[in-house]
Amino acid sequence: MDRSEASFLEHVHAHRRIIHRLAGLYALDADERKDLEQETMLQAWKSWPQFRGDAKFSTWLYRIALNTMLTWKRRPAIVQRAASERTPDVADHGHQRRTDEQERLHAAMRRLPEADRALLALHLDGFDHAEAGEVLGLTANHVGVKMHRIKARLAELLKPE
Amino acid sequence: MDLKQLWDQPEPTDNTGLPPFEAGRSAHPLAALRRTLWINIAYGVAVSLVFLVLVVTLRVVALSALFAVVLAFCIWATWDTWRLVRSLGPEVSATGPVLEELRRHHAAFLSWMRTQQRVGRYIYPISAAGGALWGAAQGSGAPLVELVQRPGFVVVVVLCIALMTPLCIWGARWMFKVAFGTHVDALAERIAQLEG
Repeated sequence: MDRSEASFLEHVHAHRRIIHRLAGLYALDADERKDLEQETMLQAWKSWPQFRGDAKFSTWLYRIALNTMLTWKRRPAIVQRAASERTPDVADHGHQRRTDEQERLHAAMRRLPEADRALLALHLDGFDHAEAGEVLGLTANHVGVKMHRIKARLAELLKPE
Repeated sequence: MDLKQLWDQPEPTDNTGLPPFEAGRSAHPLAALRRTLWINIAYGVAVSLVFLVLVVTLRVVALSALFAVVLAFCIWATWDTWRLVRSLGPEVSATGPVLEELRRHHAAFLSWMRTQQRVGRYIYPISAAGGALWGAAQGSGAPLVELVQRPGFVVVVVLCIALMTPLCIWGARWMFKVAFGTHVDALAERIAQLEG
């Protein structure tokens, strides 16, 4: 397997949506989003020599991204500022915006507990209960129960006020 | 609305979002903790050397004995910190599940805090006693044997230990809380969320 930086970047570029979307779910502002993306790529690069290709690259990257983002230490100033905003805006890169429905889903997901966001993202990205459980360290049954609760909570959050 | 369909829809920044890759220094808390621990080890070695010089050069047996005890604990604490550094992987796991990784990080930070507290429990009283005795001997210019016989001197040393030890332990806890308290709480919260 090609272990070069070019090959790594090619793989990451093909799956950049995973990192970008997950960072969007966890970052409290645009700067932190960039930090999370950068750190995830760095962590993936450090583990790249051990990637054997037994698992799909997307699953491998998902695991690194979640392990990085859920163990990330936030700067106190960002936490304080974010606490005063209901759903901090992390949309960046110019004036392009999501559609209203995308924005509602994104805002609702960000109001879920952090661990639940990971589970929901895995579900929406097509991981079944067993696969999601493997990534998170839970049994498939536990994932099923949690998903049921998360979907109910999400439905409440998506109800028009 | 179909959530899956909505999630799968491309977002405007999906194709442009990632910053350029820089294979630089990690800003991850575990990497920061490892750097802090290496600094602690460097301090531990430096302080041990200072105490070693004091033990060897001081001509007062009681002080030499006290500083020898402090030196022994400094060496032990430095070795314990080095063990902790070795047990921490330099990067996040690419194979372990999220829950395991969260527990590993949480345990690493708590382990460091426990090490600091253990060190405090043993070293601070001895350091306070040694410091008081040495300071008094240096300040007064009188030999330690004579100082100990002065009325109230032992009470002052005991008071010094009683005041300084809790103050130092409290200070160490406060510094840990300021540096890592929120992070440790956040890790514990995420573990509870996943387990719940």
